[in-house]
Amino acid sequence: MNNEKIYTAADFASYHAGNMPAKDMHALEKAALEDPFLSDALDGYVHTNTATADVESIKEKLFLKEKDETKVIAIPSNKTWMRAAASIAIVFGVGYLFYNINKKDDVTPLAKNETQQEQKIDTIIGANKIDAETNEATTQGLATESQTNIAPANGNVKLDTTTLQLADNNFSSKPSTAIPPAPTSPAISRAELNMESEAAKPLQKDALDDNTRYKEKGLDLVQNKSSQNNAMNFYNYNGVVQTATGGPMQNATIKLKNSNIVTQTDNKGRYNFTAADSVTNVSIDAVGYDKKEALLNSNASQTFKLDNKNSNLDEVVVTTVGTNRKRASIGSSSAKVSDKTLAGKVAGVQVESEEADKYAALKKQKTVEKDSSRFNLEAKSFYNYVKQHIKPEVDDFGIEYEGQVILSFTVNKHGDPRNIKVEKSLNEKCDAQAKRLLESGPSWYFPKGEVRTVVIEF
Amino acid sequence: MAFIKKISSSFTDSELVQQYKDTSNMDTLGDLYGRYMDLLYGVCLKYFKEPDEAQDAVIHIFEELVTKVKKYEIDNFKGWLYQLAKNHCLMKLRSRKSQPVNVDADLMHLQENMHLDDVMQKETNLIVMEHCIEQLPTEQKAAIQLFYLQEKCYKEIADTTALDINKVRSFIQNGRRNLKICMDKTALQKAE
Repeated sequence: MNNEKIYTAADFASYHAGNMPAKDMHALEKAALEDPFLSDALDGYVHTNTATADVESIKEKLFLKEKDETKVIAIPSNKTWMRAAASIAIVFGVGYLFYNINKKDDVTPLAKNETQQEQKIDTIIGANKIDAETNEATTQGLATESQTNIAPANGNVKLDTTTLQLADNNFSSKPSTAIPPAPTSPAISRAELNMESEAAKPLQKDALDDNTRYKEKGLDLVQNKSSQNNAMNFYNYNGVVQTATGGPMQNATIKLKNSNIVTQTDNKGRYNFTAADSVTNVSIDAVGYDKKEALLNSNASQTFKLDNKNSNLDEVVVTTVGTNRKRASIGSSSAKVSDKTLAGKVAGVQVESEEADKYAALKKQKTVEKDSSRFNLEAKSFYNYVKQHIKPEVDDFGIEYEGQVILSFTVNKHGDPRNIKVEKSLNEKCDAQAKRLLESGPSWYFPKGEVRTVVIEF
Repeated sequence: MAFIKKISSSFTDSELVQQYKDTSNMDTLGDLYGRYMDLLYGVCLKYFKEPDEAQDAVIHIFEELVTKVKKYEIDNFKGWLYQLAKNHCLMKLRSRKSQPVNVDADLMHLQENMHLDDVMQKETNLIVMEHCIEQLPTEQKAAIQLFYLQEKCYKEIADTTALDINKVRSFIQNGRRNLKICMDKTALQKAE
């Protein structure tokens, strides 16, 4: 066989890269047809683009590893120092980088804040069209309030303006108690309509003409919310969602219309969230129940009941717990479910198919057999190995020790024994040798995480 | 690298195996292994399809060798090593058990060791062979003729016949097998 040309990684690489002359390619193919080893190897090199480098790195690893194993721990002097130097360099480098980054942060907090603010303003404007400048409006509005002293009895104020209003607002000239929202978004206008009295309406019209509006009705709005304009969520909503029978509905989803806000009820069916509008349309949804659309009012705790979903399950069969698999046995009714898609849709109903059961059982059995037989095989080869390599240990008088050492261990992904523990000790020397044998012996391939034991007899 | 340099390239595999058995010298085993490392890496790549894993496998196979070479009577080191490597890879893949090993049966190569070249060199067989080639299905015949008689490589054949390169390969493999069957049969008939 040595008279054959020995192909190297470089040859395979150039074959796959298409750099090889046709004649050589033919020769290689021909050789591969005669030699499955060569042929597989040739195929394999499709999966790498760095063939020669790969092989070099294997050689390097093997070389180092081998030295370790043969206990020739001749510390490759240069390399160690170079490694140490490199790590120090890296540590310093990273440190310096860190320092610089932090420094940068210190220098530019102002700029950063500015941009942040800008961004915030952008978003707010984008989302609500108006909010950004309401700060100003609030202050002014409130100031006017105190000056003119016409604040409503409970002093609750809602502020909202449009950008248009802000452009040429003249708060100071108008004695205003509050600047009510202009109908910028449907939700808001609806809110207004719902809450304002009929009497307020004509007034609102007038106010609109002036680009400023009055609201005389003291709405039960949360006062201190007005100082949180930036946070967008002014109004607090809370209430309870119940099942059809009045029990608490856990994990019902409440989704606000016209917004991305979604919230869920807690284990007592309660919800609690804040939103920008005082009244908001929501949809309440829970698995197995009909979806409900509702108008939530922030100033009242509301209770909703969800109706059971009208599910048309034509063939649902429930086998009682604890009965065996016999179909249609006395005491439990069962029938075949034709619709497999039921699985997972109905709580507490287990959809099973006979074939699947059989297959699963068979598979399980086979796996167990396979695993145990593999373990036996591995154990056998290990004990063979032990037989060949075990050396008697002697005590101080030259008398051989006799007895057992029992070791337990797991394997890593390479099949090497790990976490070797002495379950039954004989003496230090024998334990040590037993461990050595296990470590140097053949690889194991039982599943990771399992613990196996071996007995080594001296 | 001590064990890779060809200190004992003049020895045959079996001589090196024997030397290692006698001396347990790692350099000897390393030298022997080094001869096939490129091939082994390719085989491992074929199974794992992933360079890192394949590299690990090559190292583990060497570790296995350290003990196994001593345990077994090895006639043909190369063949034995190939088998060992395949077993190793399959075992690994199986132990992962996450995915089934998908080995495309069509792409796996024939394992029979057919020394067709030797056969072909024999003048007496030439006539038989010509006869047998004629018996082959057209596509196999064309592929075999292009490959063995005109010494074209797969790519050239694929280009001239406008077939997929894997098709070409399977035509050649199947053609070879059929050819061998035909020739064995004819030889038997003659002997009778």
